[in-house]
Amino acid sequence: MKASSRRRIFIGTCGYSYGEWVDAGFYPQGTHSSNMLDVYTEKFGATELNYTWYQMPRAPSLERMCAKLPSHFKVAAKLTRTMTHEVRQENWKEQVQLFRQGIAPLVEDGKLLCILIQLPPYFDRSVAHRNYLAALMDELSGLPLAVEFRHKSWAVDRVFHELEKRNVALVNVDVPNLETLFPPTEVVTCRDLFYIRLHGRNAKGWRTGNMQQQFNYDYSDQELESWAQSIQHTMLAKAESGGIFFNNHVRGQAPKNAAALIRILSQNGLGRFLRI
Amino acid sequence: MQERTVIHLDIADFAAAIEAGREPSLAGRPLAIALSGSSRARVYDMSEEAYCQGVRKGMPLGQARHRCRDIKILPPRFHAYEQVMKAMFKTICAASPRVESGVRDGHFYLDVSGMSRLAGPGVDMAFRLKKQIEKEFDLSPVWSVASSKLVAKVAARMAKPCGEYIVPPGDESAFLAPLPLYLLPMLNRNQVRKLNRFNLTQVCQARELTREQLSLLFSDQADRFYNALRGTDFEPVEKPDLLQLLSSSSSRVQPNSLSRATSQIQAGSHNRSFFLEQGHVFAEDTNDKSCLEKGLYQVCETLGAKLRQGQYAAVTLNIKLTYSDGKMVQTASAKFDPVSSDLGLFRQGQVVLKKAWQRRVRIQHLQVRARSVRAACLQAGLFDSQKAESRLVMVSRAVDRIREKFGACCVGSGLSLVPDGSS
Repeated sequence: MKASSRRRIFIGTCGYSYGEWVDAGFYPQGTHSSNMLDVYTEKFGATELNYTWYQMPRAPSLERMCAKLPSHFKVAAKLTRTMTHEVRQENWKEQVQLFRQGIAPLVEDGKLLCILIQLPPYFDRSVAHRNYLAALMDELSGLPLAVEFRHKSWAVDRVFHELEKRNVALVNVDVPNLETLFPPTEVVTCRDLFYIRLHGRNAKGWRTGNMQQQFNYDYSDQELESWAQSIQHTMLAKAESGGIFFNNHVRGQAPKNAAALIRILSQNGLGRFLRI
Repeated sequence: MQERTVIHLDIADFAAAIEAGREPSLAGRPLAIALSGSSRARVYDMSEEAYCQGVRKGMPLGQARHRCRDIKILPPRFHAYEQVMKAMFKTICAASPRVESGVRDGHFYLDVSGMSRLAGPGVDMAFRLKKQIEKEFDLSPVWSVASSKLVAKVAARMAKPCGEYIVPPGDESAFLAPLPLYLLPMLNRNQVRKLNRFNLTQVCQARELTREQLSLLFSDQADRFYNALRGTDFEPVEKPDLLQLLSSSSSRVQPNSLSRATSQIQAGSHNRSFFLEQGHVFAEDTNDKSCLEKGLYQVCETLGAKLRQGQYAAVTLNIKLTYSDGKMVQTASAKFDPVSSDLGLFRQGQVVLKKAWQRRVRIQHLQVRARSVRAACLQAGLFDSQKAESRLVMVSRAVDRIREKFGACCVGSGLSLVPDGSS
């Protein structure tokens, strides 16, 4: 199936404010953290907001951020940990309302790509967890959603079909070849958006649990070409848009690989879909 | 100026949190930490539940009881709070070499600038530290991340009683703008009132003042306030220096005393000398000699511990008495041979007290001010009196070590155990 010309691909990184990216040469020497977003938006058309996992987003702060962003720029906001990793039965719905209020500037400004629901590694496909996830998605209805599973029990067709029914994007992950992890997939469950997160394939580093080792990986052009083929021949035809984010932030490898993927997709004739 | 990442950890209601952790039945109940049994008792700390019912630090205990009828009162265990702080400091120091902590207030600052390559982003470091403290100490800190101590402190105040606040770099000024002035840590109550008199209640309003206008209100602090109102703060995160440690409110106050540790440090004109002050508020106004001397001894114990900790010795003492009718009398000693033992300070203090205490009116407050010099500056004593002082210092140091290990109350002088009212 040929991709419609209306389709868009947003490529970026998971977070953009890393001091080590100055040393890596992505940001010019002397770039202050407060100026990093300005430089970033010249190179990429989207980013994931990581800090919203640690802290409930606050509308005034996001409003100020939106004012600095180019009109075409998109943001994927991670859902706060109080609704994914530290859920309290008595107040999680209130947390959802607070989250909605906090990201309202992104919605109003047309800059929200999706809400990224990243679930913890221990969140298996038990009845309780299934019920909770269903209820969470109900509370977030009306917002574009993408769900990243990290427990392998969720990698079954029934889950994909349910996401398809809800028009919620499954996050396809690129991770090390480890038995316990949710496997890499090329599944599109949402008509509006396909989503890919590339964490790197550093199996040894992953086992340490140390972020600076887990995400220390440099994708080769060959590995990126493989993803480019999947995007071009499988995923782009099934969704209006795509979000592809690199999480291998260590030593500036994420922006380097993101730029390389943009180059490869352009060389493959998909440049017209890229939003930079 | 190099860009910074500063983490602030703040365990709200630290003393109350420790007591509630020790006694699970107290969890969720209004709790105040205070020395009861006196008309002048004040709240040292309170739980969030008590705070919600209007109880505040420093509030007279009677007023606290009136506001919160079912409040539970527990006596303070200062040594326990200090021990927890020390243990937490040790844990936190593993994350960064630049850590600044209070004495027993549950506050820590870390400068993690330039550490992201090793330890990951500052936000993640702060989160992991919070989880570690929860796991090891069963205490849940409020945490904040910002580019300076000032902004991190204000952010933590915004997050209280629980939670977190991240102020992105470049957002400091916008973050502070709508906030009330009393949230700025460098403004005391009087300074806030000064600004309020001009209808300035928010940071953005006070920003309208020029440096010159601020200097009319705050003289040589004007520049600091001007920068702070804009979210600019260059104060480094560092271990408190010796003089700051000596001026902290840490004291070996006995639990039956209401001594407010009002110690202050003033730098002397001579680099090697400084002034150390310690005050004692009597539980009830008194003109009983044994009670006054007991208060004096407790003050001398606290001063002596600080002097010995810093390797200083006192060479003059100044005593100020505040009477019930508000009158104050101040008397100074002549210079004497350097003294840092508790008993040595007390004996010098007795001489000064006798000169100062000339009225029959009851006394409310006693303050002792010691001019001190570095013990290393002193020549070795040749006379018996100085040898005797050396022996007394050895005894005092032994007591210091015992108290350090087992708590302030485990050992005491007979002088501090005299019941009030006895002669």
